[in-house]
Amino acid sequence: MATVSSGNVVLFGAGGPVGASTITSLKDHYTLRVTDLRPMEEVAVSPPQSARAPIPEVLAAPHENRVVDITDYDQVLAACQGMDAAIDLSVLRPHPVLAFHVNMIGAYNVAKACAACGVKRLIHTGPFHTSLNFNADYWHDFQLYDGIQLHPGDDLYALTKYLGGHITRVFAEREGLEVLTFIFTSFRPREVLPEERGRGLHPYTTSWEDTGASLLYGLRAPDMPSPYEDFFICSWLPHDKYRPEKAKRLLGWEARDTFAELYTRAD
Amino acid sequence: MRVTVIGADRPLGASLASGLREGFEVAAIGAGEVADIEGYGQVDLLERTAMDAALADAEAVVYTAAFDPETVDEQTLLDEAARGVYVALTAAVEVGVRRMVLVSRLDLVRDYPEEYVVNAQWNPLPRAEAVSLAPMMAEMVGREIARMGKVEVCCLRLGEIDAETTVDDALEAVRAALVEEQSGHSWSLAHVASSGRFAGGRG
Repeated sequence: MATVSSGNVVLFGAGGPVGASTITSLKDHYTLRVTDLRPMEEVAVSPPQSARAPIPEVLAAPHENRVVDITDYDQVLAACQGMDAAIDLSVLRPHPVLAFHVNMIGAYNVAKACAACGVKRLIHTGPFHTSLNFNADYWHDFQLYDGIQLHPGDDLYALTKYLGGHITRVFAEREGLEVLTFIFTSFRPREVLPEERGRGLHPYTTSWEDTGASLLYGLRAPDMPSPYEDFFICSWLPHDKYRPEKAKRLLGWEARDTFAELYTRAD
Repeated sequence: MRVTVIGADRPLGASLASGLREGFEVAAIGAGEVADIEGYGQVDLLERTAMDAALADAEAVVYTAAFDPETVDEQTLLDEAARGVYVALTAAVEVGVRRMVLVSRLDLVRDYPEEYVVNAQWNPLPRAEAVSLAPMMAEMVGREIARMGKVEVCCLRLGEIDAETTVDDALEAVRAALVEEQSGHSWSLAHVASSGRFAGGRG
């Protein structure tokens, strides 16, 4: 049974806003081992990644904060020991070397360590680059469901996360590790400011708050139909471009925030 | 046609570079300091500036470096396989190369049951270990960049050299891949086996 209703959960790359939302959502339900390349105390006093993006809170015992370099297998292995589940939020975008090391080799290290430690469920995360300026990027398509094969092109961030995702898939299919991949694109705060009303939004959008909640649902969901499942984690918007159907069906998760004020005329 | 063979410091790359000299103008490069082939040049295969310069005169590229890598370190294997193809292909696109032949491994489909008739239409089935995943990483980078339509990538999966795929058959397949008309897709994939379970066509 891969459902993780309680117990110990390690977060990798928790120093960003998705990590912040995840910590908020999980801290009262699990004992967290919160890891990042930087000390969480340092992260907590740094500027937000973008305007109104959440900053991680530094948790006290029984939770634990730990510096982990995801490209170092021994550190990742140590961080996975004693854990019931792992969530990999790590990402490195523009660097021509480190993008491969963090996004691809990091995913390998996490999947291998999870398999070695008997971790029941790994939630892997990655981006859907919805517009990459070539014909196979799906930008002009509609009614896209979870599970489509992404086409990252030569975009360093998209491609390296794509490779990392496939590595976790192989571990799921070959090693009995259950992997759920959550795919994100555009984040924003739940609160809609008056000046934002009627200005529209990206057709693949998720609030920070819903993002954190989705990870709680991911841990608590029943066994999946196959060892590897990927999910669009976004609001179901009337654009009808992206349909997060599987998240509702298999995780029981549905975005609370649907942002009608943003796509409805303000006057 | 001016062809640059990448990975000519390794056994297969050296053999292909030598063989292709009949009919092609070949430049042989690799990461190793030396290689047993005339005119060989050492290049940092993971460094874009170096690769831009190395491919500046090329019309086509044969990428063999991911077939028989020297390293056994897991992380290095994955890194060199994926990043090596990424650097080579993005450099190739930059300098106007129109075609790359990417040499990969039949091992990617070896774990299907022996009795199955497996061709290139079967999903790769690598094991959850770096040595098995590395060729899949190389192929995925090639396929996804090819999908953009700026360069054609012909991927040839070879078996163990001499035991399953002869050097002559590998050479013939590479020659054909360098000159054949493409079907309309920018990515193509074929199996090249002289004997054994994968023999019997390039399907």
